[in-house]
Amino acid sequence: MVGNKLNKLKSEIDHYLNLPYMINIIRDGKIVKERFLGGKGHWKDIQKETLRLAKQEKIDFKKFTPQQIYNFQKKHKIGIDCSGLVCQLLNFYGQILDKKIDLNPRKTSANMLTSFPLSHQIDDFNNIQTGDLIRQKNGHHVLFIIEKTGKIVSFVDSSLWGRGVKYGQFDITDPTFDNQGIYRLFLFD
Amino acid sequence: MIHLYLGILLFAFLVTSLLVVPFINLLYKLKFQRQHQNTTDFLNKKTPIFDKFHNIKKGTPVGGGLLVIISVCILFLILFPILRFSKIFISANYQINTELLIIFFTFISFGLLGLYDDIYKFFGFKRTGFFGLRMVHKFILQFILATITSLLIYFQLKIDFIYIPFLGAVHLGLFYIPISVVIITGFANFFNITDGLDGLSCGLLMFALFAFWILSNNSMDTPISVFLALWIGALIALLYFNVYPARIWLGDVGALSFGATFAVIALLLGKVIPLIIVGSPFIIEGMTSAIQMISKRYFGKRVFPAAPIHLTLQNMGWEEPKIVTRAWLAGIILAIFGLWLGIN
Repeated sequence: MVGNKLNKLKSEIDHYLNLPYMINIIRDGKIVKERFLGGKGHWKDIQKETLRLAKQEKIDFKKFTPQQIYNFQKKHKIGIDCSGLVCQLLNFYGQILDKKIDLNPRKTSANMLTSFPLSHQIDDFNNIQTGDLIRQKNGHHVLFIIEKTGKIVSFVDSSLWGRGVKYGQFDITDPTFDNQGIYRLFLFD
Repeated sequence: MIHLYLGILLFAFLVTSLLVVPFINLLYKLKFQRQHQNTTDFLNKKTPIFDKFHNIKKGTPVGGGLLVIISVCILFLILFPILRFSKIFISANYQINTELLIIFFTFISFGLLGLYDDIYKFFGFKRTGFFGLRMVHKFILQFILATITSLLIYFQLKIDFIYIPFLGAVHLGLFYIPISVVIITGFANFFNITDGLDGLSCGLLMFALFAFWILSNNSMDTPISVFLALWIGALIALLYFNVYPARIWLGDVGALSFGATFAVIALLLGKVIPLIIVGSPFIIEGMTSAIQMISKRYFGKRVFPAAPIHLTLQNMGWEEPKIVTRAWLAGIILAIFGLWLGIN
């Protein structure tokens, strides 16, 4: 049962994989450059918009490599940011766990997702579970935990330096792993 | 964002300041004024100490809370869509519409209940021989409203926890509903009881709201921060005319609404312990009244010469402005303490 749920989650993550990192540019609380759906869209909407633009430019994606699709999306400022990805995955994971999680990706940030009253900190890395979040860069970045196997934790995130949505891993015993704690949504308690 | 919220506060202050004097004149015209009272307690015994200190306030217009409620609601209706369309990044911990529904439902429904009580006091006294709604009726109505609010918080926002500073969050499950009903009803009444001296409740609320404004900003909740900015701005404008000697009183319309909404804001932010600390002046006022009532009913004795505590202090010879100013100072310190706990 658990494996089935995890597989469902992984296949949902696959839809986001390799999307470019895209974020609204906000200065002094005001959005100065707005991206498609604020960089927080669901993969279906991102796919629809990409295909619409491709049709407009008479491009056939069948002849494109994943890298070319990535470049096309990046050129048109289509993609997803870290909190957008995490929100979409949390909503999906909540659905498969029968927990009605109703996060609004467009109104949340990495900082909010890893702060009270949405989530609380987990003290021990050994207690990490699917759906937990890792806070990084003082709340400016967040990772979504997929699973923990032994001491290795798999995650997915969207970042500029990682060139969009990518899987990643870290060892919980690695003292150099940069983080400001593990967080769990109250709704997952 | 902080400069935006400060601007909103100043705007609310400015708009409400312009409306206060015409509103006071309107209340005079409508004869919405404090009347000579010969009040009785719940055992139908006369309360001479209360009447002694309160009958000198006869003639003061009552209903300032209505002005604050109207200005906050209208300004929010105008400003929040402007913020949305002017590409200000609006962040919220929960679904914005549900969060706003809960806040405004409490703000308006408790206000309407208080308004009904005020109207009943001023115009129904001669007919019924009873001053305002009977306590039991008022409690039942408050209980119903608080239950609706708590159910919305629990089922719609799925909040079932309170945060204990230094320990973390405690999940209460379904117990959250009765606990939040008690908190909302309690604060509505505690605030109403505190609203007995010129500027006392409004001033204390101003400091308390400032503390929660910082907490909401810390929680990155734009709707609550905007709502609190408007509320504080409007409240300061009213407070100018509410300080000793008051030219306007809040009335039950404001007292019930403000007390209940203050509690709801804390519940939405999950900050119940800071609410208890920041709101302790209201709790002390309310509890002294409750202790007095219980003692009179079951032991036939008074614990205090008069209740709530501000009447005891007045009876001891303290001047009204002295009591209020000292309560404000206590309120400032408690707001800072609550804020410190809330941020931890």
